[in-house]
Amino acid sequence: MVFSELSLPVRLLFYLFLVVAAVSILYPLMWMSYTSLKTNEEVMLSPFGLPTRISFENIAEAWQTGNFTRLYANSILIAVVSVIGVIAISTTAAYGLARYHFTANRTLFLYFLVGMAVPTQALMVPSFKLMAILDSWADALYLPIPLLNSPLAVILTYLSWSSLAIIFIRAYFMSIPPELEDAARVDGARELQILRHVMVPLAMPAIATMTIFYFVFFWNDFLWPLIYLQKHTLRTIPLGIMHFEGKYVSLWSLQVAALSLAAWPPIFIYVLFHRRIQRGLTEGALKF
Amino acid sequence: MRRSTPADGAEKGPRTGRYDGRFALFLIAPAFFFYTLFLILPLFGTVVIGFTDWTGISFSTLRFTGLENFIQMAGDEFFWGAFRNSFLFVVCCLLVQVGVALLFAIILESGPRYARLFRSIFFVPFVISLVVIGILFNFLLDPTIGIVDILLRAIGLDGPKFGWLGTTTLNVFVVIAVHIWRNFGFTMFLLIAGLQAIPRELQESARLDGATAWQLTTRITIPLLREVLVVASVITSIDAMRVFDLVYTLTGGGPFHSSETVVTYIYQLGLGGARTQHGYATAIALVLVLVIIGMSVLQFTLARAGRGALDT
Repeated sequence: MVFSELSLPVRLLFYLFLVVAAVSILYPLMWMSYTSLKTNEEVMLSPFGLPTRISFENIAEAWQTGNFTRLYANSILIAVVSVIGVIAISTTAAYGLARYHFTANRTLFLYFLVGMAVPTQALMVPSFKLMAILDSWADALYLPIPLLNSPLAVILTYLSWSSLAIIFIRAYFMSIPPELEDAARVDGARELQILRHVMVPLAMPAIATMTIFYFVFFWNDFLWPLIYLQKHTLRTIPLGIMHFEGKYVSLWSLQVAALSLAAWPPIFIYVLFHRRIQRGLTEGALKF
Repeated sequence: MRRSTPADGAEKGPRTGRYDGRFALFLIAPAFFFYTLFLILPLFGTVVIGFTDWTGISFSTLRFTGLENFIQMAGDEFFWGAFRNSFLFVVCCLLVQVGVALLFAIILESGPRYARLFRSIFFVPFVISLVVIGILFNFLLDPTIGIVDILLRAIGLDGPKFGWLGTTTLNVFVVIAVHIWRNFGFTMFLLIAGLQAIPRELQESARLDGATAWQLTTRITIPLLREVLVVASVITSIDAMRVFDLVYTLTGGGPFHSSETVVTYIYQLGLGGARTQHGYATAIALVLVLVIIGMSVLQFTLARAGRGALDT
């Protein structure tokens, strides 16, 4: 179908669809953004009007009362550690499965495939119990920090979601011609050096795709922090926003400012790297 | 776009490489450790705990109760309500989310002006946390300060008396609408990737033979898109079946459990508030796992049967 060859009414109808959908998406986000730049009086007088002058009073207050410095620090810590961890262990595993012949290879691959079919939400109660049990054994296991009410429980959970990355990166490794490694081997490189200096750089597109995919999911995840992080100093951004709502019900201009503080950075990063992010998320899901 | 099913690779195994099994196991060990301990073990736990009334963490209190949890489920109207809502989610998302995504994917791939811009806009909500979206829509749908009701009043209509989210039977559909608002752009991207993989020549030659745009779309584009359409449908229905964040932030499952879905109900029973019906919640989780796997298998099977019928 070629758009320019359609009849005029059809083309107009299609443009109408597109514009209505785009406005329905942009308006709520714009309302949120400009409302948080209004003063309290302005919010009360005209809840939907544009601000007459830009004021950062609500933004600043929301940052203070919501303790956003801490929320961002917690979210960044959990997301960065988990993403680096899960990508590192998945890349090495993917390489082992893609390039080495051994008896259990196929069995191990199918074993990792199981994780693709399991909805992780269904595991919440046994996972919580497992963490509680391990926590009660903390001394015997020489755990440096407790498991319950610490970011460690969330990070360990995320590290177990390696199936997708293993399958995705393994497929990419298998598509790389073996001559390159063989050449490095002839030159006397050791196995780990080949992985680090030859294969990982070659597989960078797949690794980058998975990094984006996992980062977006860890950053936005709500259920697992909700389960494990009861202490308010440990809250991630989604948790902090949730509690902010409960605490300041009457001050809704402040609440909207808090929403903006949580939504602006991801939107900003999306605007900068939209093509990379779109590709990363779509390709990751299509590997399903 | 690179597409191959994971199982293809499993048949082949590595085509090249070395035979040093011990080094390979050393590479695989870390992923194997975390995956086994924190995913497979809880999955195994789901199967076991579902048949117990275990509430604590001490193994001495673990007591098997046979099928008791499943019998309780059969008579639990909230369980059935939660499952009905989750199925409603799946059906509406398959029809509306995949439908709208397909329409926009086809329109945008045919090359209207600003196609790239529209595409990127539709994807924006997908990068924002669902908690933010849920609370934002709490404001927009509020009966007194929400824009939706204010616009309705401006044209002389009234919103629902107890609000969009406070009215039973209606609130589920409102949550579904917000879910679709957030996710259709993502589904659209999956389908666009599929459309771009269709060879241009096929459409070109049919067009030269005088096929109308409608014929081109329904007889060539959509049949060729079927494989990606199935993948998109499976992803959409799994996402719909395990929805949690939006329900939790928009309605909390209420009023009176009217908008509860399976995952929010499991959370309610197992971990939320003071309720600690761990065994019962896990039994429901076990049903959820089976339903999701069954649903995916069913869709893939239907797609394969459909392909067979078309080929003959």
